[in-house]
Amino acid sequence: MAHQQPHNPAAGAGSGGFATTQWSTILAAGADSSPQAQGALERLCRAYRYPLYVHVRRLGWKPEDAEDMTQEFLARFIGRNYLQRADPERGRFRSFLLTSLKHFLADEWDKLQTQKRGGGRPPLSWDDLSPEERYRMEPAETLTPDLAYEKRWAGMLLERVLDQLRAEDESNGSLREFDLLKNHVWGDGKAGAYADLAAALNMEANALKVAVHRLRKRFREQLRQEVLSTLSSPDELDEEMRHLQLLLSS
Amino acid sequence: MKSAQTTTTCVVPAERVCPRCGAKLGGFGPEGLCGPCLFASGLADLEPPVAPTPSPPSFRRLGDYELLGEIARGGMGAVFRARQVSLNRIVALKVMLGGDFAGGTEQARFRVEAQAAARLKHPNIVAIHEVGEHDGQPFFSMDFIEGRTLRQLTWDTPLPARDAAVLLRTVAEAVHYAHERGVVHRDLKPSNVLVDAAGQPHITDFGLAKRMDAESDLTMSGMVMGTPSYMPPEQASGQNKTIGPPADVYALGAVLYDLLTGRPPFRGATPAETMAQLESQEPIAPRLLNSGVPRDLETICLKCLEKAPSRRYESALALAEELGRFLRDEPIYARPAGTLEKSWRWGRRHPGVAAALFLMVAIAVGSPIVAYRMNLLRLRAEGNAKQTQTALSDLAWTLYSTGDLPGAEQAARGAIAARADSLADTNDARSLWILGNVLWMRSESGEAAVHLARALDIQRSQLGLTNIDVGKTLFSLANAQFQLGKYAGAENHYAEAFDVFSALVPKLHPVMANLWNNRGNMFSRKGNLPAAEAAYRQALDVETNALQGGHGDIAFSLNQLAIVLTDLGRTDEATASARQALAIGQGLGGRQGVVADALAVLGTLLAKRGRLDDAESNHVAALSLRRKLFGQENIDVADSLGAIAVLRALRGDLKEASSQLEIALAMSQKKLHREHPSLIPHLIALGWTLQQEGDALGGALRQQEAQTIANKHGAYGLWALSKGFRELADLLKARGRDREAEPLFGEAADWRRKLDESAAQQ
Repeated sequence: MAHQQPHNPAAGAGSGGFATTQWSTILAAGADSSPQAQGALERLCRAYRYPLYVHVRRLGWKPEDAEDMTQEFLARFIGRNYLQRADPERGRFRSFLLTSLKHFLADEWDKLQTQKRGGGRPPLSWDDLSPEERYRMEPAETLTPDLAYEKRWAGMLLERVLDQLRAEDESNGSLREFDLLKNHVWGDGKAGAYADLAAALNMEANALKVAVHRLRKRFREQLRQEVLSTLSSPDELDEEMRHLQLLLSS
Repeated sequence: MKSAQTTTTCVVPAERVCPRCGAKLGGFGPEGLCGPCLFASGLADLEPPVAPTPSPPSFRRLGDYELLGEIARGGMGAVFRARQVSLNRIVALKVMLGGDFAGGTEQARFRVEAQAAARLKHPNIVAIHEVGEHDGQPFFSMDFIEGRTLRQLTWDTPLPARDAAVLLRTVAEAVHYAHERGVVHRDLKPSNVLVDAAGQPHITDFGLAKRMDAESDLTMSGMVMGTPSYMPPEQASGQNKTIGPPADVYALGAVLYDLLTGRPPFRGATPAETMAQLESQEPIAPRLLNSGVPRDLETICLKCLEKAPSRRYESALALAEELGRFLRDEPIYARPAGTLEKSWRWGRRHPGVAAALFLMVAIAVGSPIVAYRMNLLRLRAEGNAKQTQTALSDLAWTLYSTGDLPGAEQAARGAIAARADSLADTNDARSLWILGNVLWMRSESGEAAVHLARALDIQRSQLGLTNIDVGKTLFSLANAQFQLGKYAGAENHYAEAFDVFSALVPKLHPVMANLWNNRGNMFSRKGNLPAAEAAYRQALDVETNALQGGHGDIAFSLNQLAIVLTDLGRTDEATASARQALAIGQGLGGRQGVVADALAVLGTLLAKRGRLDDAESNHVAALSLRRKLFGQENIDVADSLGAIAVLRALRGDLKEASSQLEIALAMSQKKLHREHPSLIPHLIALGWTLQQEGDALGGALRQQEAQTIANKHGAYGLWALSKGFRELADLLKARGRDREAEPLFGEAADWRRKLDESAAQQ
C-alpha cells in the first residue's frame, strides 16, 4: 500500500511529466477544442467555482443572482467565449478566471439576461451544498471581493488535494491513519504527542515516523501537481505556491 | 470551513491556532488544518521549512538555554521557545543569526539600552530577562507568551472599533510607562504586540529590536530592511538621532489605523514607495475605508498620524486618556484634523469642493485656537481695530481648517464687519472666501456668491490672475453658481479655475480630476455629450493615476460617465461603467453616495429596457441609502422619489405617481430656488402623469412651467427639456407603447433642434 506514484488526476500529464499542464493544454487547444482539453477545462471550472461565487456575493449580489451569474459565466467560459481573448493574465488560470468573470459581469450579464437562456449546454450542478449554504457557514468577512476570491481559491486547492489523498486512503482502508496523521502534521496536534499517536495507531515509533514522512511526500507531490495544473508554465510553480501560502497566512 | 467564528464583542475569538506558525487554523483553508503550513509542505524541498524541524545544530543549545522549537523567523533573526536550564523555566529567546555583531561603541550602546529595557516591569510589556552574547551572537530572553500577534489577529480584517480602542489604550499606557523610564520602542507595529488568550496585549522587543535589527541588517545585506508602514516621517527619513516618544505616539496611531481599517496608513509596493507616500500624502480617513469607525476615534487616530511631532498627542498617556474619554462616551479633546470627511460627502455631489477643501487642509497651519482667542481679547481691550481684524481673520482661518464651520462663520463675519468700508487686502479676501464656502455648504449660495465675487475682485487686483488663491475662489464661486442653477456663470468660472490650476499644478494632481469632472458636468447639462464624455474620461485618467485604486472619486466619475453614455444611447457601456462604480462603492463599505448614484443610473438603464420591477428595486435601494446619508429632505432623495413615481405611472398607478411627483417637486423647490433647471424633469413627468389622469389643463400648466424655467437658462434649459421628454418617451417605447411615445419623441426632437440652432448662432 505504499504510494510511490502520486495519484494523477491530470489528463495527459504523465508521471514526472511536468512539461505540459492542464491549463497550457487548454490554452494551446484554443478554440479548436479537443475532448481532452474540454474535459480538463470543465474539471478545473468545477473545482474552482465556489471562489467565483464568493466574489460575486462580495460584490453585493443576492444569493439567487450570484448563483445564476456564476453558472452562466461558467457555461460561457467553458463554451470558450473567453479563451480567445488575448490577455496578459492568461498565464495563471486563477487570475484569468477572475479577470474573465469581471469582463462577464461588466459586459455581458445584462445582454445575456435579455437572451433566451439555457440553450447549448446544461449548467454545471453544484455537488453537495448549495454555494450559499456554504457561504453562510463561513465567518462574516470584510475582505474585498478580489481577496475573498483569492483566499477561497487557495483554500479550495488544499481541500482538493486532501480529498484526493483521503479518497486513496479510504479505498485501501487506512482512513483512520490518514485523519490522525493529517491533524498531527498540519493541525494543532501537540508536539510530543508522538507516543500517544503511535499508540493510537498501534505502530512502532519508527514506523510512525516513516508514515508521517510518506504522507508529507504524497501531499507535496499531489499539491504541486494540482497547482501546476492551473499554470501555463512549470517555471511559475514556486512563485504561485508562495503566493497561495501568503494568502492563507493572513 | 465550518469554523463558526464571530467577531462581535471579545477581542480574541476563542479559536485554534497553529502551534508551528501561529496562523489561524481552518480560516479559509481545510477545517482544523493550517493553510500556510500545508503550502509550506509543498515548498519544503526548496526553502527552509516552517514546520517543526530540527533547529540548526549550533543552536540546539545556547549558553544557559536549551532550544525547544522555533516560533518565528525573520530576515535577521529567529525567536525560539527555549528552556532556561538554570532556572528551569520556559522563555522566548531571540537570537540574531549570521555574522558578527557590531563593534565596540555600538555594542556598548546596545547594552546600555538593553539594560534600561530589562528594567521595565509592566504587565503589558513582555519582560526581558537577560541580554547576552554567545559565540559572538547577540541574544535576549524574555517571557514566553502563548498567543498571537496583532498582525495575525487582524490581517485585512478590521476589529470592532471599541475593541480596537480598548486594546490600544492598554498598549498606550504601557508605552507611556516605558517612556517615563527613558525607553522608546521605535518599532511598534502589529507584529510586535502579542495578544494572550485572555485578550491582553503584550508589547515585545521594547527598545531592542530596532537597534539590533538595524545593525544586523546593515552588516548582512547592506540595506535597511522592513517596511516603514508604521514609522513617522522623521524616523523613516533616517533621522534616527531625533527619535523620541512622539515617534511611538505616531506608531500607536498607525497600529490603531490598522486595527480599524485592516491596513496600515501607508502601504506601497516597495518600502521606497511607502516612504514617498508617507512624506507626501495624508492618510486616507479611516471612515472612508470602514464606515463603521466612529468619528471621534478617527479624529484620535489621525491626530497621532500628524506629520509634525508637535501636532500629535504630547504623550502616550494623553492618547490613552483620550481613548478613555472615547470609551466612556465623553467628548474628546482633539478637534477633527480637517474637513476631509465633509469634502467627501459634498464632493459626491459637487466634486469641486473636494479640491477646495483638500487644498485648505493641506495648507492649514494650526496655531492653538486658544491662543488666538486670548490674543483677540487682549487686542479688543486695547482698542486696536486693525489688529483685531487681522486676529479675527486668522481665527476664522484656523477654525475653518479644523472643521469648525459655525465658529469660522462667526469669526469671518466679525473680521469683515470690522472693515466694512475698506475691504481691500488679502486677509479680507480670505475672510470673504471662508464665509462664502461656509454658506455654500449650508446651501445658501445666493449670499455665498456675493461674498465670493467680492473676494475674487480683491484677490485679482492684489495677486494677479494666475494665482492659486484666485483659482480657489473661482472654483468656490462656480460651485455656488452651480448650486443656484446659474449654469452659464458656473461654466465660465469653472473654465477660468481650470486655466489657473492647469498653469500651477501638475496635470495629474487630484485637483485636476475635480476640475475635469466639473467641466464634464457643465457639458452634459447642455447636451454637449461628446465633450462631456471626454472630460469625464480625462478625470478618470487623472484619478487612476493619482489616487489609489478603488477610490470613491473614481466611482463618482464613472457614474457621471455612465449618465452621459446613457444619454448617448450606449447602454452597454453605461451599464459597465455604473457597475464598476457600484463595485468600488461597495468595496468602500457600501454606505456611500456613489453607491446610491450607481444604483440610480442602473435603475434608469433597466427601465429603458422595459424591466420596471428591477428598475424600481434599484431606485428604492438608492432612495433608502440617500435618506440614510442625506436625511429625509434632499434633492437627491427628491430625484429618487421622482424616478420611482415615473415607474409607477408607467404601470398605471397614476394617482399615486402624481402625488409622489408633487412631493418630489416640492422638496426640490424647497431646497433649490424656484427657477432651478433641476426642477424641469420633475415638471415634465408630473405634467405627463396629470394628462394621463385626464387632467389636461393641470398637465399643460406643469409643462408650461417647465418651459418658462428652461427659457431662463439658454442651452441648459433647452437640453433639460429635450432630455426630460426623451426619457419619458424611451420608457414608453421600451414597454411597447410606441403610439404614446411618438409625440414625446417629437417634443424632444423639437427642443433638441432649438438647442442646435442656438448653438449654431453662437
